[in-house]
Amino acid sequence: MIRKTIIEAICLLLLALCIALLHHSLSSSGITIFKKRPAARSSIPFLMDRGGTVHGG
Amino acid sequence: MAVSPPRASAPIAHRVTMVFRLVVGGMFLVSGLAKIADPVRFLLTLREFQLLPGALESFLAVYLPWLEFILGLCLVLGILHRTASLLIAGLNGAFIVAIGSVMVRGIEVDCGCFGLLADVLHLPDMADGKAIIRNLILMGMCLQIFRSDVTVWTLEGYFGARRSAPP
Repeated sequence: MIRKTIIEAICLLLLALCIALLHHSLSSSGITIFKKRPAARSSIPFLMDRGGTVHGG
Repeated sequence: MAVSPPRASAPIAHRVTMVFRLVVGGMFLVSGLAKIADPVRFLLTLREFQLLPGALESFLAVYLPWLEFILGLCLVLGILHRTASLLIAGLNGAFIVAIGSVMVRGIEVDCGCFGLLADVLHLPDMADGKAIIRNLILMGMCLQIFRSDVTVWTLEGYFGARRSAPP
């Protein structure tokens, strides 16, 4: 029972990881799932510093 | 041999568990979607907590919203809902630790729980005692969902019944 729960938990975590990475790579290349609100930014630059400046992007 | 009388409270407990499932699942589904719609806002909120290194903050800003969305969906639909409830309880525990740490350090930040929805619906979104109590209540609901083995109104129960039914 515990083993089954652990395996299910790992599967759910990995599923979320795959979808998150897919969404991130799509939105990084300009393909957005959600219609953009004016204030909403759909992609995270990974090299953004704490001040919001993007380095090397 | 003594036969124990049928428990009249069982259906009520089933309904309560189902309501808990829909409430917690719905909240995580909606808050996950709100964060997916604006991940940069969520990233900036995570940075205000000053808890994690920058790369991990960026990773969590991409990962956590989708995790919340998928776990919420599992609870609402009733797919692997016991495991999903356990993971959500763990997430709530982590949120409580994070909010507690900013309270102890005297930092006033938004908890980022509802993302964009906090602005649109004017929801309370500060990292304070109320957020901790809200997370504790959600955690209790999740543990109740995990404890009960109810498959009423779940896809798991539906497909399980179809599989065990004679052809």
